Amino acid sequence: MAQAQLEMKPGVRVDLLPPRRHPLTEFWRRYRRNRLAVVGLVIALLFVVTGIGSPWIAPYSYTEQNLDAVELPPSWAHPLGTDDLGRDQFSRLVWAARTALIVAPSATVVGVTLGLLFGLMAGYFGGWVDRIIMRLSDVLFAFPGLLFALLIAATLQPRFEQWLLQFEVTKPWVRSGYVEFLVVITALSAVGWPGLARLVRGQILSLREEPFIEAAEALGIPAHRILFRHLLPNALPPVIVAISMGMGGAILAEASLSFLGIGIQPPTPSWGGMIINNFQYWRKPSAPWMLWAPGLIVAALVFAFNFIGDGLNEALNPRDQR
Amino acid sequence: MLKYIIRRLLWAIPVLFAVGTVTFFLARALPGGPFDFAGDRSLPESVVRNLERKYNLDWPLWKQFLAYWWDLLRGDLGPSFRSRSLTVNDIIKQTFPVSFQLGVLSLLLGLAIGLPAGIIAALNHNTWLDYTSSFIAILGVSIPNIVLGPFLIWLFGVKLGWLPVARWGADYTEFYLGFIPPMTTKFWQHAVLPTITLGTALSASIARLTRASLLQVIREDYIRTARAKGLRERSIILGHALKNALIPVVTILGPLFAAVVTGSFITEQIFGINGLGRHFVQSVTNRDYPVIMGTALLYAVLLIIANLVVDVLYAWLDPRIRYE
Repeated sequence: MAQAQLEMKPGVRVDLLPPRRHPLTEFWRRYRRNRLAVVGLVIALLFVVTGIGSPWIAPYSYTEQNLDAVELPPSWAHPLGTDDLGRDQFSRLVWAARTALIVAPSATVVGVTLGLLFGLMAGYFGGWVDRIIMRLSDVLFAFPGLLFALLIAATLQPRFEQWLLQFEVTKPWVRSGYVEFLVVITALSAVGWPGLARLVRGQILSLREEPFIEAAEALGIPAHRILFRHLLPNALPPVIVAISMGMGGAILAEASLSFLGIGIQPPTPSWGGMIINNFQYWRKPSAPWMLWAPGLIVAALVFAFNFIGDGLNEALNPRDQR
Repeated sequence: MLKYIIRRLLWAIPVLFAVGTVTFFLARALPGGPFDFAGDRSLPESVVRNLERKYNLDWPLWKQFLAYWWDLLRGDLGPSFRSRSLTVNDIIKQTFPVSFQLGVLSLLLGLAIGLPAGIIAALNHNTWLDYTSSFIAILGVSIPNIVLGPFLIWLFGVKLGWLPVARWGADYTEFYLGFIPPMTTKFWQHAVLPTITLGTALSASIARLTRASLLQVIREDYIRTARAKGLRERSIILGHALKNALIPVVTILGPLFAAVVTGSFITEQIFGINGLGRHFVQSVTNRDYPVIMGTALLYAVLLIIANLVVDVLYAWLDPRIRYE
């Protein structure tokens, strides 16, 4: 509007006005300024591509053992050496990317959806809805997160298996080890939502006081429309940052659960499981390749998602206009 | 204020009860029982029955549940099914101090590195010093314990052979006042690597928070006023900026400490430390119900206290905040 009026006035040079960009272009322009965030994005994309393409990228199967080729150092046939059962380390790492790619985003999505929903409801409706949701999150906050996830995972495992064995469709899942994925995802998302719910609730509480919400209410717009069309989009930026950081956290949590032996079970490859499996051999200075690879990958991914979170924070934060 | 604290403490009672209830039924829902195995062998059916009778596991669940709370009210956390000579109270008395020491040492390390790093970064905003320390900080946040711990073991324990790699707290010693260890060389040798493992991420997040908070404070009007008055830069930073910038840092120490103590179980697992977290993990695998319950409740108490301390500290440090 302002631009249109200016254009009509004689003598005003339109090209002096800042160019109008598509919001996405503008977002990318701001995001790109943080170079480490771009590096993080590249690492994350590599992770996604590896996870999707693991059957084609991995030269060997992740279960293929060769007892004649145990604990081999890196060579052309085995770029990252072999483990204690003669399995190709590189292939297992690639397959583990698929495990992480299934578990971490699902756990994050479920956790975030729950957190958003509860946070929105608590913040918007207030009263007893707010009280119930906040009390529930109080209780969950009093549990140490990963320990609770551990307990849930250990409890759920056999129940899920029994339940899935009833149906013809899901029977093969049990044998192929997909149940563990479901267990870990459930455990992680059960622990993950309260923090986000509080964040969203705080956002909503401050947004509710804004005149545009009052206006919407005065116009008689139904509650669900106000919630999802007016409040949610405005509360999103910090949530998006939290999601990105949460992805790194979920990858780490999955690795930690598997590290403790309660998560993804061997032979399904998981970086955490590989770290604990190779841990005993790490003490052997003769096999250092078993030390570096899985650890570095987990570290690099957590690193990448932290940087992406930083970049998103700068790109989405309107107070930080440069 | 006092009313607020009392109300929060009263609210802690139902929260603890909820935590205990959820843990109780989750633990009982674990497949198998505590006496399925003794070492590698399985026990004869009759022995298992006798053991179950001894620990009242043959009672109906609701009766066991009530009995647990009744014992708990009298301060008895029950026996350990696995370590038969120990009660849960004994286990906590022996292992919690070790987790506590690890937490305190890591927190001190985190502060010793994090505070100066954050301050230096903020005072040299947008210079190479700032970029370098911020980069290192995010690196430190990102390195997982399960990677750093084994790496330190490999480097200092195996390759260089300087330090012991396991069994901190394995030989039970009396602690002064219940939690202060004797400061022997052996203690420090055991403590160094786990402390670095846990403290690195801590120092990195303290540095990030300090930097962000100080940068925000420096832009405030009262700092400009102080400059306009012609105060020396040093007293501006130390007397005016830092004091206010540290408020969020101080308040986060509570939850950080709680997170370190409750989150140390992975580090304890890596270094074979005889701490509480390791017992929790083992008790889940062993189906040692009273130990699961005892540790979960203790952790809950810790977390609740930490959160309360933060809120109180916040109001005390920042006069703008008032609780009704």
